[in-house]
Amino acid sequence: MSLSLLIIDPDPVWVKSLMTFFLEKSFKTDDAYNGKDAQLLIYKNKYQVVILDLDIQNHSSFEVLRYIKLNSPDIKIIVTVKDALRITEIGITEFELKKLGASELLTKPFLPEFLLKTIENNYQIESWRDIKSNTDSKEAEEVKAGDEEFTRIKFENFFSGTTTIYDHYIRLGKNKFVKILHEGESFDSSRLAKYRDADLDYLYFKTTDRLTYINFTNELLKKIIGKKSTTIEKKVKFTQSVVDKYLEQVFSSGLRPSLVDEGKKVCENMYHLIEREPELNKFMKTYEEFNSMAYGHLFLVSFFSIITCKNMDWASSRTIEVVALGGLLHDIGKLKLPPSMRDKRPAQMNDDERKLYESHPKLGATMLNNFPSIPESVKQIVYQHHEWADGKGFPNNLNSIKIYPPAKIVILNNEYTTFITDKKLAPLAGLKEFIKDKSLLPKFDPTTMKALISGFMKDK
Amino acid sequence: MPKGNLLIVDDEPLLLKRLKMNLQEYADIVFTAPDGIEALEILKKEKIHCVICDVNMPRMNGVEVIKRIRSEKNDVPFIFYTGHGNQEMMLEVAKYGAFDFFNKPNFDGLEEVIARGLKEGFHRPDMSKDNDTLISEYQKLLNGIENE
Repeated sequence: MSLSLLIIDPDPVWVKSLMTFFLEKSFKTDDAYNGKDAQLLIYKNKYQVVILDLDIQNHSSFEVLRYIKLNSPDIKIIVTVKDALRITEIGITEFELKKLGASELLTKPFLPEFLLKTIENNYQIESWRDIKSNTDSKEAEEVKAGDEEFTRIKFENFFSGTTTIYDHYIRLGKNKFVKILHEGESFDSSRLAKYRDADLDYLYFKTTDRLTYINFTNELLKKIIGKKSTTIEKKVKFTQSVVDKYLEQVFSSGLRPSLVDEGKKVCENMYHLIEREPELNKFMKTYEEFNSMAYGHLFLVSFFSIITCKNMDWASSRTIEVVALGGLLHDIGKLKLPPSMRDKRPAQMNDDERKLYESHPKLGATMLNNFPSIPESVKQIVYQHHEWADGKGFPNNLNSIKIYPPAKIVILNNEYTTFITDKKLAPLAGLKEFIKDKSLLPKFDPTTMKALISGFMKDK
Repeated sequence: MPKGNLLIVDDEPLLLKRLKMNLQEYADIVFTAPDGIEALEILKKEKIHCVICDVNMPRMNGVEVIKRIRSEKNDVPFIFYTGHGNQEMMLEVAKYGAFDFFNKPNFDGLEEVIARGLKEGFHRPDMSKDNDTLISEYQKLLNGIENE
């Protein structure tokens, strides 16, 4: 990818270090040290990305933002600040900056590699919008590539818009794939049907396209959730598959600023699904396929936390947002544990391992500190998701009165979903068993438990 | 119906004034303190049902304030806020039981949380039910669902 870049920053040393890095990566890179020169360059040249420091003079950063929004709205703007306090000093919020046209806000100092990733994410995510549709379909083409380069999705969860935005493959055997749909081709369902007959359960795409896939399917999901003709079952399955791919990306490549935004969109979609589906309670009682996918547990925690939230009389839309995201990310600290430990249950661990395991809530909360767009409340949910009402949880042995109220929702649903998936029970049947388990009950706040139960009632 | 008394603690006089103005209607009396030391004095003298507190203050920070208050067996709900860069302190205050958290300058939803905090401070929930009572309460709710 060769993009052209403009770096606007008052600090020549900083600019030089970034330029050296990006020139090596064969980006076309220009520099400006004040707003006036920057605007002139933007007027004369075509840039895809601008890195704009908030503290430039002689045409302030706000003037430059306004200029770009008016004259070159396609440019991606990454705003940088000299330190974390600066934003508060100036008295502007990240939200307001984004409204002015900034796509990301980065706090200095950061490594140029981090900036590069941010640029790539932003650019990749937007690029599918520019893909021109191509009506001549190409022939299927065999590709030799390693299994590890691909991510798969179930055929039954496959939706596509009129134009495909990434290449699709089917797998013939070990390291052997056939590209059946090319990026930019118009989608023809009969072509896929041909392969379905071959008894194939999965469609594949390159893992490097996963972010594009997530962004695209997130948009698609929004539309599908609003469709009356699609069944609830299909909607839930598709939502779960988008969430699954999202978490796969987070847990394999780490969280990045653009993924935080995608996560917020995923949560919004989940909330809309739960909010708008009048038959959801009926469906939830009997649906038995909740445990099939890799990140199914995290999806379920978030899903049932939203449902619980809806039935807590104090929960606002702000609470739902933080509980949904907290539910998805609550175990992110496990990324810092040795890989051999990630799938072990505490009962299988020795004392040293257990001690390490009990540090994952704090590790997770600390990881999230790197992302200014994640609210403090979400970090607290991650930090407290193993505290129990009886004070016997970890890491701080907080009792019910001390636990952050939204965290209580995630704590309960973390245990509840583990319980039903372990026992392979449908949600309602599982709940009936769960409420009778005297060893578990003291862990939970009764009001929260009642809200979960009420989630199975008909909407009034 | 009484709404309860609120204490606001912040070393920035302007923000203190603004918060007091905006939150007045949600409480019976709004007390303000420019730092942690004065906050502790007010908490000793007055009946306070909810505290909203900046975490990073000179003289005595938010961590120290809640730590001392809790050591006196006072579990009044605390709402903390922070500017960017004090996240470690937020994990510290959580150890003493915080009711909610905000990121300065985004106070969206603060009024609602204050109202809820004051209510909690007024009537602390009763946590004393035993397992069997709870199970029968849950069961009753579940039966209602079955009979829908």
